[in-house]
Amino acid sequence: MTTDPARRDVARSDAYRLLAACFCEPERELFLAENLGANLAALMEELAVPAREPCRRLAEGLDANSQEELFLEYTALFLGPFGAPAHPYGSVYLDQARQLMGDSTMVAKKMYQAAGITQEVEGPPDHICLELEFMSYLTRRIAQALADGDEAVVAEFSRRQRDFYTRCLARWVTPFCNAIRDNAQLPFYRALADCLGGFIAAERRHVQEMATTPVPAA
Amino acid sequence: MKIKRRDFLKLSAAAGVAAAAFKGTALNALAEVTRGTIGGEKPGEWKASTCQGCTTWCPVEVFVQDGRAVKVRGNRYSKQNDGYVCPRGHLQLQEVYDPDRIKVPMKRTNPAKGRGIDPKFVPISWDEAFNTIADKMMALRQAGEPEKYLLLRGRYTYMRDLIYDGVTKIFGSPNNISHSAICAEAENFGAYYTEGMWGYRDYDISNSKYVLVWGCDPVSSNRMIPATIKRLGDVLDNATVAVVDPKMNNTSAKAQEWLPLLPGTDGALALALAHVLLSEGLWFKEFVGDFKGGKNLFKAGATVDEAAFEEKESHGVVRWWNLAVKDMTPKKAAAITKVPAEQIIRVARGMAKAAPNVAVWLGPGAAMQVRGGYSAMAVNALNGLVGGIDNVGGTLPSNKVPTRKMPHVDAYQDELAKKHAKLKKIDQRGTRAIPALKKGKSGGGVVTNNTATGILNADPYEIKVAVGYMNNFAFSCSGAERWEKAMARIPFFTHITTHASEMTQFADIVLPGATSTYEKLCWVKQKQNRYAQCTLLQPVIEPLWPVINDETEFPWMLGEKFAERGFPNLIDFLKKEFKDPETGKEATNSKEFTEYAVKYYTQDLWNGKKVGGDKITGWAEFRKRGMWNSDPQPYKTRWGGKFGKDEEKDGKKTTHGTVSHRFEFYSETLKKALTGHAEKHKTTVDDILAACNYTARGELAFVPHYEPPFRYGSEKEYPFTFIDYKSRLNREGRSQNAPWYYEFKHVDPGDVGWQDVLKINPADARKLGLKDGDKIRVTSVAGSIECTAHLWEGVRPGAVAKAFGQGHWAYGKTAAKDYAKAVPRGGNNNTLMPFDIERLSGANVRNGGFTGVKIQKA
Repeated sequence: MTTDPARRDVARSDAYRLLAACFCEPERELFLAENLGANLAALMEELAVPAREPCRRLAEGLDANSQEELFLEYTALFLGPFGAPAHPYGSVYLDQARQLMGDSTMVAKKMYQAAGITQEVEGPPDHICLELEFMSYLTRRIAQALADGDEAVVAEFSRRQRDFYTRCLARWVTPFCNAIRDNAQLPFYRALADCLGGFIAAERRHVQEMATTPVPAA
Repeated sequence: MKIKRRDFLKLSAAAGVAAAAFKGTALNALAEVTRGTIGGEKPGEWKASTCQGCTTWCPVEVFVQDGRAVKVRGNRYSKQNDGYVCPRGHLQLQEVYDPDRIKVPMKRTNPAKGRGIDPKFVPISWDEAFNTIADKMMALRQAGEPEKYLLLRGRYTYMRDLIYDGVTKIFGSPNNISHSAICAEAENFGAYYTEGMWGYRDYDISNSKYVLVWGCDPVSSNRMIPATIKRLGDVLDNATVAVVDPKMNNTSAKAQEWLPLLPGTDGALALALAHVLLSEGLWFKEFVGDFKGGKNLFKAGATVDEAAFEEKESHGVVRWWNLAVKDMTPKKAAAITKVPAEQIIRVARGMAKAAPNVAVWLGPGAAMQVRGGYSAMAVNALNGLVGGIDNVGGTLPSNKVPTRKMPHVDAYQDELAKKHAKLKKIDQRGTRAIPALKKGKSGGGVVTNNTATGILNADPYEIKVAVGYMNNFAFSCSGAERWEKAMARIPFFTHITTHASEMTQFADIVLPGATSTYEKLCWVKQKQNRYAQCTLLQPVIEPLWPVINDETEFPWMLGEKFAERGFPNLIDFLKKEFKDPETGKEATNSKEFTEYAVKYYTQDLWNGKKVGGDKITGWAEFRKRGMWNSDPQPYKTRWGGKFGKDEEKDGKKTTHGTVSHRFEFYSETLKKALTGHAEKHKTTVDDILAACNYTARGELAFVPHYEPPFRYGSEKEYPFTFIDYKSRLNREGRSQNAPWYYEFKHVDPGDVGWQDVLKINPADARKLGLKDGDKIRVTSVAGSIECTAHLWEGVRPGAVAKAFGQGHWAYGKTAAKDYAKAVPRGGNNNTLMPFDIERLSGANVRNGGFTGVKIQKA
């Protein structure tokens, strides 16, 4: 486990980013070529997140199943079309009546805007990929500011990160992961739910601490 | 969501803590922008569009804030809805933001098709989707069989011509099949063969002194809903409202009179009302005329000399009396209909007293029956007897909406297309037992539900490629399961839709369609309160995903692919005939084409041409207002022998409207149509009527008369008569995945929130040992469903009623209980109601007590 804050935040940023990639349309060859499973496992280990077992299953799942099988499972879980069991949008879990573009969606959108981020793809702003990518971005900015010794930026982005984590992402990841676990047939997606759930739970302490702890001198 | 860049998957080069290691970002779907250029919460804006939750087609405004639609109201300029919408307008918010929508083009990867079989859809690109469709279609042309392409049209806008006629005819198929006959064509039949108008009537209820609502619930259906909701209170104060409906509805709950007739006996009740009006000398003489001697000769049971009566605006009243009315006394009708004779007399006298400011509001309940053509005529004939036709407080035709017609396609049809587009249609219209006499022509109208018969029997030929849009015939047609078999027979089917449904279950390609109010650009026309309207559907929000406008973008994208395959005719037609009317430019993509086409059709409403109605100074103003109102519809436009007119063109005489040019109690128009159809098949009118399951023979075929209701299932085995009706929350078939639909279901009289209930009279329930809330199995000769029993006095003993809408086994998570196991939520009425059609009009049957059911505890 790393104790260096900047290095730790780079690892956290990478973990968020790789998890975001896992929720994109699966590209098995690319995932394998980039050692997705091993890299994710290494990051979790570095961050002391108890996710060794799910990361191993995730890697094995990538090996075991074909691109076609992964793509079918991805479609069945997240797209449907007859009512996907694990819609990857926050408002489905947070707003009344499982709708898109709920008030919680607009909260996420405004937080992106306030942090100087815009969405480059279609779809609601609270897609799991976007929320994870946003956390990756915020964490990276913190790491960079730590390295630069820019206390104001560290404080600002730590606050943004805490707010986004508590008001958006962390509020719906648990039911989302449960929905995946309940419906996934392939080990890759079951393991992914465990990885995400474990990581987001472990993140709670970090984001709370970072937003309240004075920034150490560079 | 796709991975756009490979470095999104790479670990950061973070071996050290040097600042340089963190430079740059690895963003995929997000991007950094300069802060300060993005505002916070922007002020909202009301944007004009149109609700297509039903066929009222209300001009509406949608409040859009930060790109999100949050509220709906009526268009402030509307003279139809006065700025209000009904519950359906609000419900669509849960349609556009439904997570279960189709978001990307998809293809089937499991070739097996059927209920409960996972199609294993996977996303594909638009390019792959259209390449596949174009290849399949072009293979038909290469084989010399373009007629084997079929278009199945569902809810449309008036851009329909492009996909319906443009694509189909230029490609070379006769098979553009509309949904219209599952809507209410038999209702139009009743109006056409009495007053010569194949279309829905307007009702001047603000000026009515008596409103007789028949077989519908105007505050929840039948084309002027918000206007009626707003006016009904005043109408109840100023006029008498009577409702004929076998079960209590919203309007009858407030009305002064409710006539709960036995289902399917509408003809007898209408004739009995006519009997009172005629035998008591109460008909409106300014319209119908009078006996030459001034003495009323209409006596119960007595034949009258036609020469003794001099008619004014009508034709054949005495012959009608002699053939069908004279014996239908209130007493006799009471025995048939179970409506008390004294109530029949009271209603008839009330109507006479209010005449001519009387509106008899003919709804589908009186018409969409196995033998409903004549009951629809009988009900509408009452409008003639009381002089309410084209009159103050009565029923009205519509003012013209001066939009353009689609340019001719002939020049773009090659020889193959010209020849094959004229082949027989797959719905078998115009055959001996399916006259489908729209506007007097044998085979003039669509027979939607019979299309499944044609597909299943490959008669007149096999269908190999089909496209469907905004429809779900495998759920919404009676005998729905036949459609499942028919769809499984089609080798290649493309469904353009907002939501996957039972029909999508059989699709090979699924394309995400734009929702009507929020994402489409197109136009519709309608009328209410004496004002016709043209109203735009507009993309008031940015679609969340790249959906397409089914009626314009599908033809364009298909046309481009046809051109790549050496068949440029379709895209040439779209480019050359739909240039921007302002600049003369040809469209270069599907979005431009859509806008140019809407401008083409509507240009005379905003280009300065003197067409009456609202003055709109340009396209930009038209889009901002979103609508155009006509001048008010004048009264008595067809009085003076103008219910029909003859035209001669190229030496051929044609008649528009009634043959006699008058309002017809004896329908010369139907006589001509039926005789023509019989001659075409070298047989007699009697033979045609027998083939069409009607009992009338001889001259009775040409007058509104009573036909005993036809029923599937013996009363012994299936003791209850099933009544189907539409929920006021049904957005046609598009709201069943909206949670609000279930939360507010109790707004339908007798219904219960979150449930699908069969309403049964408490006396009947007692006999069956049923309690409120019991789970029950309901079975007919056609099928069986499970639902919940609800004890309710609003349905008479012997009949049971259930709202259409629930029972989806393939839909989103809210509408279908368990898609994977094909378990429906509630029961589909169309599983119980057998396939049948009202053959004279081609209409789908859903009313008139034609389904007997038995009820058991589940």
